[in-house]
Amino acid sequence: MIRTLGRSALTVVFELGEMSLFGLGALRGFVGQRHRLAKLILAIHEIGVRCLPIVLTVGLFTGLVMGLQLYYTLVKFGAESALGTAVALSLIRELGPVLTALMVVGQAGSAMSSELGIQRNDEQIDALQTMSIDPKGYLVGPRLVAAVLCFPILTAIFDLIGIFGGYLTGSVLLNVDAGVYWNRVYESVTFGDVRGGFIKALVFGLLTISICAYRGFNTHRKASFPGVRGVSESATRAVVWSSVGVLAADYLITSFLL
Amino acid sequence: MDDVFLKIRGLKKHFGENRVLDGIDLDVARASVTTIIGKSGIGKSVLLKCIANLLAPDAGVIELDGKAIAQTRRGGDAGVTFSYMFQNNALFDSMTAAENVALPLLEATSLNRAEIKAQVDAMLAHLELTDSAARYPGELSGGMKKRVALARALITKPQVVLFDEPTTGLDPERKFGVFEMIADYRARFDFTALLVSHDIPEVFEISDKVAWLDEGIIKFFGPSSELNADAESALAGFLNKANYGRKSKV
Repeated sequence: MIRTLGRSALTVVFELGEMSLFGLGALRGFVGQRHRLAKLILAIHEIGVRCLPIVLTVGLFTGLVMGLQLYYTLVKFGAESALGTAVALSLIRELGPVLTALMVVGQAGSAMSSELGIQRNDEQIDALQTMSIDPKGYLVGPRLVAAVLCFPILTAIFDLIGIFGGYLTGSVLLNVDAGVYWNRVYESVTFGDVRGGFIKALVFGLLTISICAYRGFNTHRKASFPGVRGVSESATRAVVWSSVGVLAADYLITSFLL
Repeated sequence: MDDVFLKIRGLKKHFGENRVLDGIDLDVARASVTTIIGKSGIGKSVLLKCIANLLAPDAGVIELDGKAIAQTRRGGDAGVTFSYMFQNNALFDSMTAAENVALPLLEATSLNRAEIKAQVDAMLAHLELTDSAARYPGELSGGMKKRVALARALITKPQVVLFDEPTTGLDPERKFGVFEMIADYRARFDFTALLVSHDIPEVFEISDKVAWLDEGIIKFFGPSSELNADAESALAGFLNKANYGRKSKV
């Protein structure tokens, strides 16, 4: 049993190392690409623009639910005026970065993993290599740079719409004074909270897009099945690994930031 | 003596315990068509991928025009010298035919867009694809996809074009069409062609030399007219199974 555990641990460490090298190789390859801006704009559209509706929707409902839950908890202690503080800090420090990352993984990460898996099976990635085009730099590099740019922005949008959702339930529905709500938000959120949230967003962006791209790009080596089943397995594992990775990284970063 | 352009010596490639290539020696003459035949799964595509630098060989030397091709890293500098036409074409289905053909020039050369457009238009015209330039691969017939793939393979003016079963999935009429196209464009663009094909004996019509790959080595290499293996040999068995016996001297 100890041997099995050790082997599994070694496999995880090996995979993490290989994935890190893959991500670094993709970023290095992107530097050598021609038409970088055009590729980056396409990747920003894929990761940023197309994920915006789901981030807005989930952000709003998260804020609405938090407003309700926190109000009924705080009111027991006569502290409903602290609703703005509780909603804003929960969102900016934790829920914003984590839920945004999970939404982007579900929307863009799974699609990216499937697309790369199909391109691998269809020999399109080999075709790029025969054309002297670095496949990692061409296909993965722009998406990693786009993730670095888009994740913090999407997280900020999630936080803002979430805080607005908390206002809707807290002030509009449950009659917490709007001035008190917004004042508490303004007074309680520090630059350190925002910086911490952005650091998390950056790390989650690099981590999730690296995992999704790595799984798709290496479908031929990593999946248990060839063909369509292999692509579907890669996409599933990309989403599962990314989600676990986000939560594990969240714990690590939080323990350093607090 | 032929002018040897592509020279392979002692090429080996193993996958675990499976010795796929076990010491390949092959001399391909300049501006010729050489066809590799052999059973399915015997390693013909692996040999092409080693030459194209898509797979790193375990041992051996590949020389082009007397200079060794670096095999220490995958991909890279061999690309402009070699073009590869994949069995399933490997076209990018979200790009039009013209964009597919332009891709290697756009991404791997310093030509400007006007120069690229001029070259792509000329190539599409050569291959009678002008009317299909704006169509996506999914909207093209099997034969047209092959022509787009060939156009993409030729646009960089490669010295060697590797064809991996270029007639897979085509009916007999279209197979002849593709073989004629390869022979025709080989003469017009003056490249050296290395084919993997199961279409025996049709492919012999355009082949200057035939190489029979079996048990990891080249067991026969010469003109198809010399494929007069004795009736008991493994080559005769293979050719008979490939329906060649009725049409040859075997």
